[in-house]
Amino acid sequence: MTQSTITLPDDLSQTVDDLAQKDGMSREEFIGEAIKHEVFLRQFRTLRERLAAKAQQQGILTDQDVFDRVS
Amino acid sequence: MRTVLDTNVLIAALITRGVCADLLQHCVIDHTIVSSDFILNELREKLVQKFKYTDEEADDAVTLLRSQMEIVDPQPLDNPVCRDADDDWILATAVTDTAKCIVTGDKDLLTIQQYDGTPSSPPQTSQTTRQPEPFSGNRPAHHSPLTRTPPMNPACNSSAHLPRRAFLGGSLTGALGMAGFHGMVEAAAAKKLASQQKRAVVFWLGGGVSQLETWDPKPGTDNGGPFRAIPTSAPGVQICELLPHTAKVMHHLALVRGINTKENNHAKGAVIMQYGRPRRPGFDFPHLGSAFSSLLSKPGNPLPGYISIGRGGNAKEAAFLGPRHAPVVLKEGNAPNNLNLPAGVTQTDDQRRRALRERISRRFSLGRRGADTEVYNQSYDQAAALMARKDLFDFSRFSAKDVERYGKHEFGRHCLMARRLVEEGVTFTKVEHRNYDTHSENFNFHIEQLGEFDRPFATFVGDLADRGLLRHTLVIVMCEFGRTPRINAKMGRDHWGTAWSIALGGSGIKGGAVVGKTNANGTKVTDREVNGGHLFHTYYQAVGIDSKEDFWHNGRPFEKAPKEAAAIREVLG
Repeated sequence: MTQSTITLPDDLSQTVDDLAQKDGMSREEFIGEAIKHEVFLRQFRTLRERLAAKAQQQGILTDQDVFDRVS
Repeated sequence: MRTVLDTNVLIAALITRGVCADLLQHCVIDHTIVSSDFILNELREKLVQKFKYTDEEADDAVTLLRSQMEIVDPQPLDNPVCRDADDDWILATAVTDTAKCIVTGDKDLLTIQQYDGTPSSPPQTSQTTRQPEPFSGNRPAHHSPLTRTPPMNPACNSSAHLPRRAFLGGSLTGALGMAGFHGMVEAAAAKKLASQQKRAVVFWLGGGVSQLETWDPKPGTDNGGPFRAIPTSAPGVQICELLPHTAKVMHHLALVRGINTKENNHAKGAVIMQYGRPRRPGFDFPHLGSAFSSLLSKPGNPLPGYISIGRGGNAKEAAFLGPRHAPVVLKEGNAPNNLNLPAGVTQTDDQRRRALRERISRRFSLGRRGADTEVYNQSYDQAAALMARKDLFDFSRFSAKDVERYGKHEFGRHCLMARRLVEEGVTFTKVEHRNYDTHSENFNFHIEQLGEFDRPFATFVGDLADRGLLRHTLVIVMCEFGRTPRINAKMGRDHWGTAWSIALGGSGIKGGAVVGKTNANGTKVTDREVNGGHLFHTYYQAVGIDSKEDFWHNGRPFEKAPKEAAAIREVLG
């Protein structure tokens, strides 16, 4: 585990505390979860853009196009 | 909510900008995605084969998704439920795991919608989706991804029997990769192997495992014994209930059920199965391991081509191929002797001694036939290579988790060692598991022995599949013969080479195939009878070797496998 120090605007910091408390999480856990999700979303979107470009070249544009090929 | 996403939903999420992509992102953040190695393997395979992505792209996708999923290891249902054995595994996923929802884009969903009275709904109205957030992108008109709650009491009646793909979402076939996060696809290992050679692992069930208690059960017949047949991950294929873990990797394995070697003697049966034919007076053929070592090992591979883990193995197995291809035996799984330098000999001393030996050896070789000196040199080189790689045999390097997964008993350790040897580039590995010669108390012994065999073997197959190694590695489960269908007075089964079975999978083998058939009582082969020669042709062809082409030794040709036999094409993929 690596320790990181972050600085948040006061209002955001307060919102984090409120939401974490609501979910029964510590502040640290809440921020860790948020970062984890953000990392995944960025990785996923980057990967999808790469894969979707190639799919488009094959005429695959929609979910249905995929279902027609894999069912 | 714990949710299973079908392979086609995952693919659509990855390669298009529609509903499925939104759904996946939402599920990662707000739900738990439950999946299986089967789904991820299928995903990878479809991305590469159907959608023409590179191995690297597919691996990136699988790795990313896997990091956000929980991989489950479902338990088999108590009784067959659906007409397609695979459906039972799908049901088992839903029942065993706590997944509450399956999302799929499969056409058979309308059937599912009516199954067990459970409603289905498109994702935009399902419990997994945030309401009323609209999904962006192209929403298909007819086959939107749909969700359903799996039946918690899967008592199929005939009208409710569903086709296999109807339950795609929870498909478990292959779930026994069992690796969880630890078994993540290791693209690097697969690539390394792909650039090298095919290899093989033989599991030798010494003494003769009973075909009726393994691959060809006959429940409810006079000779069937007390055990039931269970469905497997291969559609329509059932095996004995003593192999529940293996049942989950059967889609990787093929069964040959029509073997007749006409040999009930241990030693002679072992020769037929490991050398492809009965011993011929005056001439020794090489063991399958030595032959593969000779034909498949890349020049310059410093590791032994053939390693035997267990009791057996000696230099004679290599026959005319020479000691370079004889087995290095890890007796009872332990490292070979003398891997460390003797006390008082330093590395520098050792290097100087080797250099001196090589110099003398070169001088001796001048003007003489090289074969014999070459053999000695090879032996020294191999010993040096083994000393340099003694880490290979260090059991303490395995993670506690792997040791747990394979089992802490000796056979579990041996299977784990076999996995490492495959990964490291050993061409042929034989793993022994003995004590199947059950002339008395056959059933109790098989409960015990197969109870030990089942999980580590299935874990081994699952791990190789997960790591992309299985398609390069031929895996065979064999022994010297089967056991008599008739149960003797001591509740035992005796030797029976007349009608029995083996299992094989991996490189070149069509997973889920079954060839050959025995009669109702299991006493004789009624369809597609084969012998050791057929099997040898099949093994060779499965790893890409022309089995009809001869070995050449001292200017004489020798058959790799008997000319009168041929490969069993039905099991070749």
